[in-house]
Amino acid sequence: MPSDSDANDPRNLWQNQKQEEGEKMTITIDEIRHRAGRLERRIRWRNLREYGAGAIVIAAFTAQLWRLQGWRLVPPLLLIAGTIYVMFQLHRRGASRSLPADAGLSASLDFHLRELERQRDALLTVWLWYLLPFVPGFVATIVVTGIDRGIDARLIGFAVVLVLLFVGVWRLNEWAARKLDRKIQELREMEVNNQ
Amino acid sequence: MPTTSNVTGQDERYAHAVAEFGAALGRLARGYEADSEKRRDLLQEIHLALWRSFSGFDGRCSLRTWVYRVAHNTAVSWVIRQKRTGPPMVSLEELDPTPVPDDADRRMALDQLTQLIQRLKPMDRQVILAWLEGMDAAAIGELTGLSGGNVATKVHRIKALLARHFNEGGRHAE
Repeated sequence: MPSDSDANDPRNLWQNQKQEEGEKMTITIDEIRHRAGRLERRIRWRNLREYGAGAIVIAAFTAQLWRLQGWRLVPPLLLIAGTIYVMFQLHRRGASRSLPADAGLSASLDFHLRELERQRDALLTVWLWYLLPFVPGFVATIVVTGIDRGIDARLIGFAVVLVLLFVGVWRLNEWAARKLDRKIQELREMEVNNQ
Repeated sequence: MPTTSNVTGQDERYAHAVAEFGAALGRLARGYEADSEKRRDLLQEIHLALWRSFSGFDGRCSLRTWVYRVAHNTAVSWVIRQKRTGPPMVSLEELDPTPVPDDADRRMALDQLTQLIQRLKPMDRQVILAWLEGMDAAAIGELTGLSGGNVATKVHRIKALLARHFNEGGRHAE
């Protein structure tokens, strides 16, 4: 046992600890407003980056539309549609990344469960909103290229790499979701014990 | 767009909360984040979340419960987001405390207590932090959403755990 008698009581020890420099937060309201503004700017900048990347992809495929005709337009059109859909999903899901407004009303158990479930569901549905929208475009690209140039080793290699990449991303996200599932299960058991 | 009176109320409530619970928020951040740089970021996030939350404060619960809920919920989101590199988090039941040595001074005892807290899973961490801040079982239940019986069991385990942590290695060991 520590020799200092104050340390005999963990509550006393904890409550009377010295604050470190970084923990002495004396933020003025103006600073808080400034930081809130900075956070919002950061979110806006992140959104811009996501839209920017999407816009570059869309521009690249749109450029192809001018030199293609008939059914050869199908792959770039499908890829453009897929990119727009993924951008919309990123925007929709990004909006819920900040702390919910009811954080002060939600008890921690409920809040923690909701946060984990939200994250798990996002991971479990990655294939649906992040991968699947690109599949028709890539399949169409492979089919059109196969018809135009014939099926060669390069095309097969491209298809195999794409399949491996898609399956890899999907499985990795599924694995992460299963890990969260175990935590959710523990909290659910706590909830049951509460009743 | 918030009205002027809302904004003033929000600012006033935030200032009041910081005056009353500012030091406790610093300790809370210490329980959730070991790295001092990251802890500063977490604390800033908590303060921001708190200020923003007061635009919706309607007095349905006490100021203390509101402040702790926002702070703990922000910290839990933080823990979920962080990529942990250390050992996996454990529950109160699984935690095997390292006894504080006989000759440990106050600083060392506090460091070991903090490390012990940081190893716990978020829900158990909330209960131990609330208990260390002097909250009673009813207040801990209101904060966490755990039933009175559940809180009582956890507090009992916390007391046993801390007794082992502080006494086993020392001269009070039996």
